[in-house]
Amino acid sequence: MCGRGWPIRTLVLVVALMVVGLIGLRVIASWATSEQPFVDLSLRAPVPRATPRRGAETAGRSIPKAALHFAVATMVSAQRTFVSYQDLVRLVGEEMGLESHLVLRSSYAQVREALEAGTVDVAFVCTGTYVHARDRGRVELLAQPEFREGLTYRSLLLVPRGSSIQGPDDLGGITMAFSDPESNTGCLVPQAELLRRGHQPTQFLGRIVFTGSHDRSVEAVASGMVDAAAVDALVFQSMLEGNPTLNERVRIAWQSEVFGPPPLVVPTALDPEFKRRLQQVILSLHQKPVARAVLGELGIVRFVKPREEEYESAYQLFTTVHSRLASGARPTRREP
Amino acid sequence: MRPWTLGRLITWGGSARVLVLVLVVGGYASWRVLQATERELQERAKGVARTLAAQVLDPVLTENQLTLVEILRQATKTEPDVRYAFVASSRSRVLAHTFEGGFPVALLEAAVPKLSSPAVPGAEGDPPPAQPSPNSVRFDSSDGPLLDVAVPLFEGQLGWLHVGFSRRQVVAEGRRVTVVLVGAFAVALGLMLWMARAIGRRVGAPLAELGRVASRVPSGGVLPEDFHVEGTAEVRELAQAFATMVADLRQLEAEREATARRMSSTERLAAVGELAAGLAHEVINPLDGVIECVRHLSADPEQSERAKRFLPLARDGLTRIERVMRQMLAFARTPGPAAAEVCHVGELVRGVAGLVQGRLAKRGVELSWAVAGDCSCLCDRQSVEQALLNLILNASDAIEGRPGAKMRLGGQCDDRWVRLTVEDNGSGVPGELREKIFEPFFTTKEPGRGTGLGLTVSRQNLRHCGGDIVLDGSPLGGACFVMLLPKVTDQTGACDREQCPGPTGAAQADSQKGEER
Repeated sequence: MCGRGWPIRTLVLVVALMVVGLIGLRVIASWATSEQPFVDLSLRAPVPRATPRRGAETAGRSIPKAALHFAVATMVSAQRTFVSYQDLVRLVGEEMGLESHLVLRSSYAQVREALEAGTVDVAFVCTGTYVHARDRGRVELLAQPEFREGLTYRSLLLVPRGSSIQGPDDLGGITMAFSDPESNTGCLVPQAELLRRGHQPTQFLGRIVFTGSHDRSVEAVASGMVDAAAVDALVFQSMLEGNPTLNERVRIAWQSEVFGPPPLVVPTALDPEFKRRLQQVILSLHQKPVARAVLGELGIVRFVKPREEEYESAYQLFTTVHSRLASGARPTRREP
Repeated sequence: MRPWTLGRLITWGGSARVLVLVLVVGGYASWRVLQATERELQERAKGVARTLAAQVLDPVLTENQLTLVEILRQATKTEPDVRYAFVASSRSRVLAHTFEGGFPVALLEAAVPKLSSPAVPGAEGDPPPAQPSPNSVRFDSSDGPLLDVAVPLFEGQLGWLHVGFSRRQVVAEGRRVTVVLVGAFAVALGLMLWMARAIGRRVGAPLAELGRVASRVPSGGVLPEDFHVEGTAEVRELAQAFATMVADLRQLEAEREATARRMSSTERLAAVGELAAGLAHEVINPLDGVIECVRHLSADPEQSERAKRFLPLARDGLTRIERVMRQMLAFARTPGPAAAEVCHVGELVRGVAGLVQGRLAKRGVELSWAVAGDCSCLCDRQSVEQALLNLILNASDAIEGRPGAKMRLGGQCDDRWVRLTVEDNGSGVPGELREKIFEPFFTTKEPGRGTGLGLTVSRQNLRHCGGDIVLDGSPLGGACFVMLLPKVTDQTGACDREQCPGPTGAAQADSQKGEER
């Protein structure tokens, strides 16, 4: 009987059937029921907070630092700031032999508060922030940038290309964009100019919008969302280089005098030795080809020792505006 | 091992094939369906995660915890499939999440498998870990099957946004496909069983019934009608073939029995023949003496009137007895080796015709003869002439006294045979007697005129030398007896036995021809 063959074939068929069946079920089961790791989402634990950074209570003591916390005020949006400054911060950290952290905050005031609290070691801030903090004596200049030829730090009054606004006197009743309440070129300078011309900003302007950064103010004007904006000339110049067609949509209606550029500042409580080393590193950055390229991307030729007198005009502007508005109507923050 | 029945073979073999087919085709189709569903979920999940990642970038950069959590929670509320969202730093420190009452520690290990020490707050001194390579991970959880999609924030420099999507839809689809697959197999299996049952009823059972009936054939009593079964066309054809075969067998059996009966009769006749031969031998010797005595008495010139009157009668009677006895001896004699010689057909016909012409003329029979062709046959001349004479005298007896009685002798040849024919214009031989006339002691003549052995002896002698005698119809209207003799192809008379057909075959062939005529 076995010589006939077909019972053996049947046996083989049955075995093959079982194998194929098992494989098929295995494949289907692996998709359907998925033999995958099990995670019990009900077992939860509080997430530990980050290690508190060196604060004011530890200031002044010579404790070996593990990392460099380098804050940059978001004069442009946080994402652009991160992209633009991460290499600079990393380079400084490497030169210091420390791990570096780029610290960003959503407003100039938060950066200033971090500086004053000592939770950051160094910060690239707006001139306005520095003059805000200067009186309280918790912040001091470390260095200031020298921009390449053609770049100046001043305030520009930007209006849409077809706008009839020719100067600050034409701003009556319009929607005006400021970048940050502590911004020098984006808020203090235009307010001071309006005051100088006899206009109470909060009353003269129709509506004030704080965009949070200069690039957003430029975009607000270019898109027609606002009638005018006060912006940093450095930022506008940088944006023009990236997008020349911007000129077709906006126009400079007025520009201020030149002010002391946004400086590098440190908490006054910072360890002097650390501060000295930090200043030494920053002032010599331009001597290294890699660092020179990084600085070049920011339009900076080099950092030099701070010249306090260059910030005097901005400080005077701040005190004037502060005193005039304190008695009258200081512009309150209004979200866009 | 016993071979399987047809139904079992179809049931198991068919089911196995169907299972393989369903598994292969169904498995592939299921795999494609599930893959498409999974891919669709992944694409949708990645789209949602990317959109969310763009929203959380600023809060992550500025460490705005409240805004970050708010954005994540908003996503879990607006997107129906989103079960959780969290942001982990590049060091696997959870920056923000949507879980209430703490973060599930095991999730970080499952979602970011390459990172070994998760959930530990970002120790500043830790070496930077490798970037997590998978951007989507599947796992089961207490909240059901989940798909974790991870989107890098600034190429992972800021960490990763993880969004957990429910995979219940995919799993449900998988189960549905499995149910369909099992259902399809069950239906196919059912169809196979139904088909096996139908085939078993229409083919298997009728075949078994045919087998049972066929097994009873040797014991007899099976009629062709017994093979009537219901089934498919093939089964019916087989049954019909069986019925035809059984009918043929029954006919053959009947013929065999008839042959046996004939054999028995022949044997009886042979015994009678031997007895008659012995009797004839015993009678002939004294008979010769008695005849001699009667001849002497008849030769006496002084015989009385009574002697003159009765002695001729006695002599005629004794002569008849002698003739009958000698014919009986000739019939019973075992044929010896034939004295075969080459005989020219024309000579044979003309010789015999000349011999009987005068006698037939006296009887009022007109004799004619014709020979076509110049050919010869191999035969015992004396036996052939005797047989020819016998046929002529029989024909003469049949037509004698009829007005216009005619007889015709003929001689023709073909490639193999010489045919000598004796035709008359008598009434012919009735159909029922066509075979009987060749049997011994059968005669249609009046009692006392024929012995019934002439044709029998003539056929026996011709068959002995490779020929035969058959009866045919005559164009003259009466009987036509045909003597078949093997033709000689050269004058030396050498006849190759292999070329000469057996007498029976030749006789049958020509008998058939005669009947056709």
